[in-house]
Amino acid sequence: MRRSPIPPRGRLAGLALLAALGLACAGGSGFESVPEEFAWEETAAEHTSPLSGENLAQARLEMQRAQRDLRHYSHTLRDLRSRADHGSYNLFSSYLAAYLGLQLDPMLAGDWQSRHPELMALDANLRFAKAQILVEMRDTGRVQDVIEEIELRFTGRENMLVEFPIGSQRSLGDALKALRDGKWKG
Amino acid sequence: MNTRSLSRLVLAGALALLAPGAARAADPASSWDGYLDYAYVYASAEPDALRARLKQYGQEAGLSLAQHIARQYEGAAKELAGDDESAIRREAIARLLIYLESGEPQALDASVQAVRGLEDRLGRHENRYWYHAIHAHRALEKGHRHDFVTEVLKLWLRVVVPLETPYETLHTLSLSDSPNSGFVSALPYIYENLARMILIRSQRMGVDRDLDPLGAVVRMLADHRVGAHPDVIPPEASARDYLARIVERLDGSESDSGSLTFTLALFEAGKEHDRARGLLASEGLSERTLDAIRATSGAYETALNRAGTVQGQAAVYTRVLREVGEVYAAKQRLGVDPDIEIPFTLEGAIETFEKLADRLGGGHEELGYRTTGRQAYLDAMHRLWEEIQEASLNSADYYLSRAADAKTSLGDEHARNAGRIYTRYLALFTRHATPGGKEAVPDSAYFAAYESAKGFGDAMLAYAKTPTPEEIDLATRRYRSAIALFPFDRSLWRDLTAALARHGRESEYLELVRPIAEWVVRSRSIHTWIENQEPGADAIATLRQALSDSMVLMHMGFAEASGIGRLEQDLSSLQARRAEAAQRLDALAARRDALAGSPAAPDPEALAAAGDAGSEATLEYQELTREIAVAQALLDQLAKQEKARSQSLPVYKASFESRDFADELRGRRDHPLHTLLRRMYHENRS
Repeated sequence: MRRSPIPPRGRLAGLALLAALGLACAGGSGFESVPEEFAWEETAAEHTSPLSGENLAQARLEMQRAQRDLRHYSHTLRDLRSRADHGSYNLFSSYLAAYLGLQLDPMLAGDWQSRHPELMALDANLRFAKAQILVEMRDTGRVQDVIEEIELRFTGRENMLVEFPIGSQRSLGDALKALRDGKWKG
Repeated sequence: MNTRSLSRLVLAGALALLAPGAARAADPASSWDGYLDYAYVYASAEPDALRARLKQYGQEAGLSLAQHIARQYEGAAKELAGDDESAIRREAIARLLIYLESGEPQALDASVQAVRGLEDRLGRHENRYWYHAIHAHRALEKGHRHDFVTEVLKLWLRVVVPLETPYETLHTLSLSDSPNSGFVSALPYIYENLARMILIRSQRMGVDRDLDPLGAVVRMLADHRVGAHPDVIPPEASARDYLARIVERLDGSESDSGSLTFTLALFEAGKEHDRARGLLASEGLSERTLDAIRATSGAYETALNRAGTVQGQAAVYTRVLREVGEVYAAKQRLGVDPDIEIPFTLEGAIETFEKLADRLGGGHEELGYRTTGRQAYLDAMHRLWEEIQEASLNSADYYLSRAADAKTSLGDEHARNAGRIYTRYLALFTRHATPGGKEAVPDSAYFAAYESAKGFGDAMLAYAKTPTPEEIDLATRRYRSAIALFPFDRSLWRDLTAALARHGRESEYLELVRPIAEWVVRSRSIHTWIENQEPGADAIATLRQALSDSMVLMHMGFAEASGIGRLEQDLSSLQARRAEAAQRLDALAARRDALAGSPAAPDPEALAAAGDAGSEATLEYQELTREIAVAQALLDQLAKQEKARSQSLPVYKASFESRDFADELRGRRDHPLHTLLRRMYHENRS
């Protein structure tokens, strides 16, 4: 037997453990842009201070997973657009808006990970992936916000290699230029 | 592994998890509480397996689930429980399980009714999971596609995503199996359940449209999630492989621009097709097989209706044509002809191929191959072509067999049906096997063109009882085309002379075939093939040598297949006749020499000068001289014939004994010689 049925108290204890580990969900930004259908009070944990050790590894895992997921989201969104399936496209766009607002934005809210040598490339990649999805969603205003955020956070690091568009690599400077040029092409 | 066995295995896992602690509990209610709290482990099992499991739990608890529901969640007990969160959740789960094992919608309605009691308590992940899972089941039951997709996306966003980081943390600390880890430890099961609900249950419940937004969830499930926790769910019990196959299709060349709806529809059709194939193999064209074939056709039709791109249409036609070919082959093999309507036509497949080929110069992305690349687009065209050619050849073959069996003029009709099918394929081939279009054509198409050209000739000349002169003429030309496409079929040369004989033109044989033979002899492609010792090079060299000899060419056209022995006898006879002629010549020469009185050269002029021109001796001498000249001419002719035959016969014999490539090429689309036929065809036209 791997485990036994546990009473609710046991599970409460489990959640308490998570809270103690500092990994329980916390409030964060992004509510304003979340569509009604997927609105929710819970957001991802925001990393507000530099991490190290296991916490850093965990944060990296989380960001890597988010990056992989954004690839799948982008892929599916493009598929829906190419098939001109408006109903499904709109539903999925709503979901993505919620995901970006509730999960990704809190993950990217802290300043420190854009400067942390082990996470800054991931951080930049996530921002570019988000921008690419917003381009697909034709949310030009928010694409511009992402561009400005990247410019602000990565000044002087234009030679850093980033993934943009998804699946190909180029320097951050070139990626920004490509993003600026392509932001209307969604 | 099929879904049924997968579910059985998952259930086995659930058993291992649950049995001891729960089964030994003294209080039935508390036993069922334990079973229900862990229902995420086994709720996705197949109805039969779930029913058996619930029955076993009931025996262990001393109370069936239905009795437990009646005792705990109805009447006074419900009043007593009030709004206890756990009781509400367990009631909702219990009623969901009843629905899943029985299929009774009322049980699901009751489950939905119960779970609504948690609406103000969705802060808890466990409540959220069951809330959205139950609503997703209800959407499936009602056929509400949009609601189903929305519930699954909500479940992902509100349950899966928030649990992933905590699960990773607990897993890293080896605490994910701890009883205190709570619902976080359910995550691997949630992945599995979601995969089964999207991929299997949705199809079973007939929700086969508008699922495309869930493509992202399916891809994410396949990406380090389902099957990623073998310590929790053994790989053989996981939906991992099933999911991987779906994602491979979703992102591969058989997709419909990434549509999950289409991929699932085509996958379901594939399952029906496999079932029909199995029945065909075991029962022949029985009623059950026919039903399965009809179900397969229906499933393919559904997939075609779901296809939004030419890519998707091509994927459906590629698979359904195989079914068409299998049915024709079975009818021919089994000698029965049941009425089977397959609502797909070769014309439809050709039309789809034409749409694909139209973008050979660019723009294939717009057909659906946006992310798969040009090679996938070309591969898809080749696969569709190959199915068109196989279905064409199989169906034409079927008509030829009907023509052979027919005793009436219906035979001519069947032969002409076969002829029309061959002609249609040849028209397709001629349109695309061009310098600009050949990229769309697979290597095996060239041999199929030979088969079609030969098949047309056979249909008109061997199967049709009363072909028209125009048909005979066309059949003759098709035989010649077939020889040009595949000159290594020795029997075809004889077929051509037989065809020519049908309209008294056998004398034209050499004139017709010599250009082909000469071209084969000087072909760069064949030369390179032999030089590089490619597969079959030696046999091809033998055949090329045979074609370089006009005597052999004549043998190939006019000698019977079994006539090598007779040809060898003829040669022996010729040699005997030449020896006899030589002896006679010697004898004549000796007599004339004796008459002239000199063993050396006779001198008729000396005889004449002696005034003996009119004498008997002179006349005899002159007669002998004439006879010697005739005998010498005969000897020369026989020697020439003997030399020619003794040179050509071994070559002809060798060619006859060399490999018969036709059967090899017919059986293997990937035979290397297909490449040579392609090169030869285009070299001949360059």
